[in-house]
Amino acid sequence: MPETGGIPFRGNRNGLTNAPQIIFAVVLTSAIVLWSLPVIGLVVNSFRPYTNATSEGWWTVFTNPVFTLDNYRTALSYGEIYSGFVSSVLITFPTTALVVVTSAAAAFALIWTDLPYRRALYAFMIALLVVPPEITLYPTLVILKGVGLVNTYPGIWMSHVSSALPFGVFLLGSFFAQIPRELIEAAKIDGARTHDIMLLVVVPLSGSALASLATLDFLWVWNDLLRSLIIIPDQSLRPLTAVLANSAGGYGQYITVQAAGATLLMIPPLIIFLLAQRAFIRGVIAGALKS
Amino acid sequence: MLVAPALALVLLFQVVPVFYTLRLSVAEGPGFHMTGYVGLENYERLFSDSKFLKTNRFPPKGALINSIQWIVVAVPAVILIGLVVALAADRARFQSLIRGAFFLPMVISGTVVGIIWLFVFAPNPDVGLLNAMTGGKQSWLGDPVTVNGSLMAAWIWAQTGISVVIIAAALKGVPVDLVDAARVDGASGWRVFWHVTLPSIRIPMAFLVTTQLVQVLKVFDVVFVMTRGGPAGLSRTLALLFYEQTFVSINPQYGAAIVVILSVLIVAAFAIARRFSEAEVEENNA
Repeated sequence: MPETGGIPFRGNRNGLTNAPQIIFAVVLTSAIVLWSLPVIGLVVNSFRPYTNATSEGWWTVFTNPVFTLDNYRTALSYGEIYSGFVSSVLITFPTTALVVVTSAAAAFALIWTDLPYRRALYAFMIALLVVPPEITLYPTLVILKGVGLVNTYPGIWMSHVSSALPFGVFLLGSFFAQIPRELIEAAKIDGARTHDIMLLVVVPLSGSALASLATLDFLWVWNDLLRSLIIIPDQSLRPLTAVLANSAGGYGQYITVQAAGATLLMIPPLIIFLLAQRAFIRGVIAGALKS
Repeated sequence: MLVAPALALVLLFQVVPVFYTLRLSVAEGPGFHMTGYVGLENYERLFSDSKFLKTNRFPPKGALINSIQWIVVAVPAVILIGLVVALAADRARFQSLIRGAFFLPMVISGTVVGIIWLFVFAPNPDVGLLNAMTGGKQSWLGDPVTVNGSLMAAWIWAQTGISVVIIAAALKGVPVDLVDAARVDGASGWRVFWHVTLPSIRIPMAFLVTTQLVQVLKVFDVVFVMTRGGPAGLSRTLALLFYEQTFVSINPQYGAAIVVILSVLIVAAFAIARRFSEAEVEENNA
């Protein structure tokens, strides 16, 4: 075996030898600390009494552990943050369900039925992936105003769903296309109707793709700010992102309440991420294309 | 008709809006009433608008310059840090710790990222971690010299996770026998990295560069939350300028011109990536 300078050659499979590995270990450790501190700071501040949070940095919590739940009490009794959280839930859950259902139906129809022009339609949906949402926002506002759906949940649901559809059809379509033709044909011979094939054959086989789409879409919608600012100008109906973004920096003495609000806003994505980490990462790898 | 709802939604909220915006950008008339065409006037006006591009002094300023600055600084930073972390994490222990630290920032909203970093950059050293560490009272977000770098730091912190995920997945696909063969031939660790590992992951890397480029062009949340484009508009990005002009100053025609330019840049990024990957495929088939 080749040896370099008398030292037995040991390296990982990417060709890096011991010295870089030690450097990497140091870099990695410092990076982990550096990346964790900002989040820890936010969470600690959300549990700190206001006077402590502003007179001694959150890092003194280790020597002076004073905690309170007051910031959360204030955040939840404070109308905007509470109603913002409720709005976020009422916007995100229906949108996610609608995206999965409409994308699955469309992808199935475009892949596995004899719909005329289905190939052209599929290509058209995929082509829409390059349309940046920003260019559609003002006309969307105009259209929704025209039908009286500005400041309503159905209005923002439709806006979000239409924006997520090309990605949904792309992700599910490429997955559905891998289902063996024999399975579909066999179901047809057994007399299954189109809807049965979709619901009893294709959907049960596509759990992982549906989960990826649901996870990614949940995060996009829950975390959205720009669209919410535009489609829901009414403060009392806005999701938590828009509520917190508007008050950011301007809260003055309420920075700890703001920290509590931001922590609340962070919790659902965290839960989703912990529960569906694999689905999420698969989705990101499959299609960071869209976002 | 299974495809009808999807088709109706994308036609109404994507196809129609794209044409509407294109038309609006060359139209005149208040609000919704397009009364006539002005040709490229809105676009010409952009280039004499100091908010968009200010070239009468060096260095040039404006939203366009800021967005270019983000492309030049933030995109390479996200990718380089992601590469180093992914390489280091490839065989490291405590994988869950690594995941927790880098992946959490990527699933939380830009709004939360902004609030988190408002704390880090707080001028009061009894609140802001950065000033506590440097022992100063620097107003990181209020100082024209540091504001853009500070915003980009928050952004880089949030985006590194995606970079790590994609590069780590790509590294798993590097052919082990190729690396071993290079070693048998006596190549050093770094040479193996440059000549074997890096070329093997160039397609995912190109993909990452494209998506980061597009993301950076669209930067809005972090800037909106942390500075609103200030001080004195010095941290305004193209997406923020579009938002201000369209929805705050209620000048949708002008906003349309900005968002058309933004969209052209984004579509161009996609097109370049596509050509790159097609050339790549042909090369492999040859």
